[in-house]
Formats: sequence, C-alpha cells, structure tokens
Amino acid sequence: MVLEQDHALEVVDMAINMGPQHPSTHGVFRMVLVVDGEKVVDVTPHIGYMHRGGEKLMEAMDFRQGIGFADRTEYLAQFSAELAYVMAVERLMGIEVPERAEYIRVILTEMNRLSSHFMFMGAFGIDSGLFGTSFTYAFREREALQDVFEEVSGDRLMYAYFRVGGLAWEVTDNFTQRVHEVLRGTQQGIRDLDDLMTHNEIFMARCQNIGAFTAKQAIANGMSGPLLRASGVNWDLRRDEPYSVYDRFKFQIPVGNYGDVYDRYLVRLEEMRQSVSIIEQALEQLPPEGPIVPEKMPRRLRTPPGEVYTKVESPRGEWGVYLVSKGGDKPYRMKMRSPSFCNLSALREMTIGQFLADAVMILGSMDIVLGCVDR
Amino acid sequence: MTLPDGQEQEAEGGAGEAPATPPSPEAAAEKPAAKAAAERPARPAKEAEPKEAPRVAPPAGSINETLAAAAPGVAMTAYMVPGTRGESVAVEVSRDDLVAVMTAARDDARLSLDYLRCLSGVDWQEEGLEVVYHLWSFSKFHALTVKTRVGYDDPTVPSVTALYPAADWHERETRDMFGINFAGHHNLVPLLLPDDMTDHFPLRKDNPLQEIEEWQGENLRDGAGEGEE
Amino acid sequence: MAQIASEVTTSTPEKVESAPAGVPERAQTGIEREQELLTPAPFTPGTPLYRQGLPGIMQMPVDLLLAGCRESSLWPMTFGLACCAVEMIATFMPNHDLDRFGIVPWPSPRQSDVMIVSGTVTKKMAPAVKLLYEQMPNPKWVISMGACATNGGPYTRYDRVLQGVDKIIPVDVYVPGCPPRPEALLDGFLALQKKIMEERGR
Repeated sequence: MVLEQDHALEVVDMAINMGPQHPSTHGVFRMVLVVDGEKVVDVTPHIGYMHRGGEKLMEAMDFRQGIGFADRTEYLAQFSAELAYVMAVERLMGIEVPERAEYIRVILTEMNRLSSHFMFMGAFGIDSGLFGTSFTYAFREREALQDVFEEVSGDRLMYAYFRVGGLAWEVTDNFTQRVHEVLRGTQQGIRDLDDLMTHNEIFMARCQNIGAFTAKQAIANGMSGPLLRASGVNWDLRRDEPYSVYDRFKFQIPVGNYGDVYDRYLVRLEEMRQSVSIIEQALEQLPPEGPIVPEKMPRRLRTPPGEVYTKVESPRGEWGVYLVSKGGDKPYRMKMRSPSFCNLSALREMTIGQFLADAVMILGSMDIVLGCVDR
Repeated sequence: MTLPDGQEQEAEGGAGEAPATPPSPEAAAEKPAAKAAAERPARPAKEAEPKEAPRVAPPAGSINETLAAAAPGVAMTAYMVPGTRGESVAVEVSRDDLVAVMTAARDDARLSLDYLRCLSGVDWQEEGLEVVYHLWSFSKFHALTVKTRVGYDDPTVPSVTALYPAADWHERETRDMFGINFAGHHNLVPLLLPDDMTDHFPLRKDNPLQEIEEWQGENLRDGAGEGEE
Repeated sequence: MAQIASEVTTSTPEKVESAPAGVPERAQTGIEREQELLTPAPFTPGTPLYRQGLPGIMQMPVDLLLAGCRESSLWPMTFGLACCAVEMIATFMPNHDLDRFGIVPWPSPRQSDVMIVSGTVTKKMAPAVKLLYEQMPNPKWVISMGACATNGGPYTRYDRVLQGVDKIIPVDVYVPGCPPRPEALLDGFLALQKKIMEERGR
C-alpha cells in the first residue's frame, strides 16, 4: 500500500562543526562545513583560537628579545622566521653579515625546511588514513635533525640562534661531519616516505583531482610557496628575489601542473630533495673559518627611523616581515606576513564542491601552522 | 605598562653611555683613553637625531610615473623604501583615490600588479592610522607599496576585496587590531578576536599590555597554591 | 570506593538451629567456615600477597589495584594547542616512547583519562577547554605542559591570553619549559603516576 503524502520529505543541509579540537593535528582551527549529503556547500573557517598577540608583544621587546618570539610564532620553520626578522633589522641598520655566518644560516634554514616538510609528510599521511606509520618515519628523521640543532643552538625547538649581524655563537667543531651524517639518514627517510605514499593506490585516489586551484586563482588569493608552485606558477623567492647567499647555489624549483592536493605533496617531496642538494653545496662552499658577526657590531641595537619589508621562502610560503621603526631599540610596528594566514584564506574557495572527506585532505595539504595563522 | 616612545629610550641610552671609559690603572692612563675617545665616533646631539626617515624621491622613469599616467588626476607622494635587496617605490595616496589607484595598478598592462603581498595597519599616534599595501607583479618583476592615512575620528578606508580577494582576511584582521572600518567589505566580522572582546583594539598604541597577576595556583586541587597575596 | 577485603566485619553467629534430620553433623557450620575464609590476611609489605593468603587467591586492597591499573594505562586526550604540541607528539614517537608506559594518545575526550594542555590557552579557546574537561569521565587528571599553560608563559602580558589554564580547570601536574623536553613530559607523567598511587582511595 502506497502512503500518499501531501508533501515530499524535506531535505536540509547539515552544518558540521570540525571543532577547535580534532585529531588532525594541525592545531586549534575550527571550521563549520555545511554539507548536502556528502558534498560541501559552504565552509566558514574560524581562526583566532591561538591569537596570542605576538605582534603587540614584539613592539615591547628589543631586537634581540624579539627573535625568541619569532620562533614561537612559526614553530615548525623557526629559522625562516628568525631569518626574516634579523634581515629586516640588518637592512635598516645597514649591517653586513659575514660570509661564514650567511652560509651557516642557509644550511640551518634548509635543514629546518627538511624538518618542517617531514612534519608535513607525517601529518598528511595521517590525514589520508595511514594511522601513524608516516608520523613514525617522519619523526625519526626529525629527531636526527633536531639533534644537530640542539648541538648548535642549545634548544630542540625554539632555537633563537640567529642574531642581528650573524649568529649567536660559533657552531660545534664537528658541524660539517654531523650534517653529512644526518643528510645520509634524511635521504633514506625521504626514500622511505616516498615508497610509502607516492604510488600508493589509496593515497593517489584520495589526493588526485582534489582541491584543484588554477594559477590565476592562486595569485589573486595571495598564495605563496608550494601551493603556488603546485598551481603552475614558477616562482620561488630563493631564486627570483634572492636573499642571503642563495644566488650562489644551483637548485631546481618543482612546479606542478594541476594544482591539486597530489601536486602539492609532490612539490614538497621534491623540495626536500633539492634542499639536501643545497645543503651539500653550502657545506662545500662554507668558509672553514671566519667571523660570525661583523667587527664593528654596535653594542646596542638601534635602528634609524624607517621601514622595510623583507621576505624569505619559508617551507609554507613567503614569510614577510614589515618592520617600521621610529628610532630606538624596539620596533614601532612589526607585522608578520605569514604564509599560512594567506593560504588559509582561500580554503573556502577550494573546498566548496568537494566531498566532506576531501575537506580534511585539502586542509592538510595547505600545511598550516596555527601559530603563524593567528600570531 | 605603556609602550615607551622613542624619546624616553634615547634619554636612558644617552645618559648611560655618555661617560668615557675609566682608564685602567696599570696601563698609561691618558693614551688608551684619548685613543678610545678619538676612535669613538662623535655622538650626535639628541636634537639632531632624525625622527623620521629622510624621503628620497624615486629616480626618473620609476613605477610611480607609470602609475600617475595610469591613474590620472590622483595626488600622490612617492619615495623609496628598502626591501631585502635594493629599494622599491612607495606611494602615498588619499583615501578617496585608493580604489582608483589600486584598480589602475592591477589592470594597467604596464604595471600588472596582480599580487597583494601584505596589507598592514600602522598606528601613528598623532598623525592617524595608516594602511599599507604591498603589491607585486609576477610578470613585470616590480613592486609597489601603496599607503593611505586616515584620522582617528573617521577611520574608514574603502575595501579592495573586489580587486584582490587576498585582502579579505587581511582587512578583517586590520579591523580587529586597529579599528579601521573597511567600507564595502562583504563580511567584516571579527577574525582573530573573540566575539565578546572586540571593543578595544589591541594594536593601537593607547592599549597597554596587561599586568601579570600576582599569584597562580588558585585552582590547584587541595588548595596547595594558597599563600600570601 | 568499596574496601572489600580489608575492612569486612562479621559477627559471631549465635547458636544455630540444628539441621533437619538426615543431614550429617559437621564439625563447623557454613557460617563459621565463611568467617574463617573472610578474615583478611595480615598484609606485610614486601612479601607477595599470594604467599600470605590462601594459595590460589590473591588478596589485595582494591584501591591499590584500581590505582595501579589507572596509573599504568593513562590515555591522554591529544589536546595540542601550540608549539608544545610538537614536543608532545615527539614524546609519543618511538624515540622517547610513551607507549611503553601504557600511555596511548586518544583523540576523543569521552574515553580518555588525562588531558595534556599543551600550549597557550587564549580567552577565545577557554570555553572549549572547559567543555572538553567536562566531557571527560571521572577519574580524570590534567597535565599542564609548558610555560603558557602554567601561567601564560611568554604571552602573558597580552590581554587575550589566559594567564594559566588553572584559572578554568584544576591542574594536577605542571611541567615547566618552553617547550619542555620530551624527557620532562615523561617525568611529568611519572609524577602523575606517583600522585595517583598516593592519592588512591580518595
């Protein structure tokens, strides 16, 4: 018997809250997804759960204390953040960094890029369903890298090793051998993760054709870094607007074709290999001895009034520091242009029309660090 | 704690470093002291230290001339600002001309500044609030900084989200931090601040840092943290 | 919490009515036999209990047993807020393994025992922290990891930062550091285990 109804069943879209605490370890990020069945109709990201006032506090710190804050803001690519900050102060004060310090800075920044990309590989594997394997491989390599960082700077995570003018102190005597050892292990780690994920059928099915973004959309949305390169824009600050001594190295820039999640993963994987190559070239060219701060280093760091915008290629994209100084030893305004913030603002456009499970993959592929989104 | 302005700092620094180095007892007293005094550069008088960076006009043929040609009738002041290496042009325009200038910057074929790198607010206390836009062109390899200044009494700036979608979240953040209202923004709700704490603007200079509360551990189990206040 | 074995008292029964005819007489009645069995064996520390009680029965105070089980299988809810989360994850990883202590990270608050607050708690996040704490079933403990969770840390002067998570939830163990080394977090867990054992029965 057919029941006669005078109206059809109402279908409503459901709002799902991926709350500030969720197992995907990206930090405290909340998004409200409105879904129609499994397809995402609308996304509202809510950020600000980690807004700690880094910019305001740095206005009250002098130029040496601020380095520790820069570390804590971008807590996976600390050396990039420190580098941008000290470069800004050096540019304002007109200080030239000695060569040995520049090379060591490059070596450490590239090793930091490796450790940050390993973290991405680990977390991304978890997002795609590998329950813990990728994390274990990734952290094995990260621990080796962190050991070198600890020998050099004294801390496992918040290094505060770069100073205005160069470095805080000289590296250890066996620095070159240690880095060579660690690089061998890192290359094996990259191979392991590659074997685990790249040609894995399930991984490919979860990543290909998800969240595709064209180059025009990427540029209009202010994206940078691996996301921009995966969308086909051949742009890397280390080659195109070089800073420090990056113009002395030969390296290639991986560029993707489709701008989807799989391309972003491949771009980061290849970037890791290129970083290893840069570190090896830098170790060869490293002057065996030399000063690490300039001779005429002023005792009190005071900048003349002015403003400067410096940018470095951090593992997430373009990390910029807009420093305005009114004289004195503290910044007047210290704006950190964080790549995660700019990349995340395009989340809505990327996710609408995808399935719910893919929203997690898209978020994972952006490789955000909430400290740098919320500052 | 209010943020010290530049003048207080200089007073401290000047007083602390003015006296000459005391001569060491064993060496010949006058020679090292005199040599040190001669080597040390003459300390500029406090009044002579610049409060603002000297503004260097950009050389002929710079991007600001192309911009002036692309956006005719717009009054702009141009000067050079340093970047990572080299310098680029900064242009100051008034709030009413902002959209015209940004449209010209993006659409004109000679400029094609299609990438909004950074949008920040700066609080110049007596001189008002400023919004700074850093633009970049991938095809032409040049940069431009556009600045506009508004007063405290009417902190409204037209929004450029229609031109640069990247400005969306930046403008929301600048509104949270400085209180600058972006007219024409489609969704100007708080981004970083909690919804119930948007009355005062953190990055304005008249908003001080909070004090550290005296003692911790009020909520320890067994009341272990209770002590004198 | 019931203390079954150690504090049971039974009274001496009065004379029992004689059993119905046909049941053979026994040396002890059922109640007297039970009484003998239920009297707890005196517990000498250092000697295994099974040597003192009857063979085949292990007698142990239940609170000791429960505390021992709870401390050996603490399941923390992964509540990584900020930079300390990276060190927390590093502690779970095989290099400084936490799994050997029975500590398994668990994403859901409904099935976890410990909440590790690792990172700065802002005022926007505070209601969520409180809600998550209330969602955890008893018994539950809180480890405040890092300087930010202890008293606001380096960000304490900003007015949108909560100066310590102990302003909203009760904390059991504070682990200092910025960020604390994995060994320090491990030490925090061992201190929590000791605390659970010492506070058993309450």
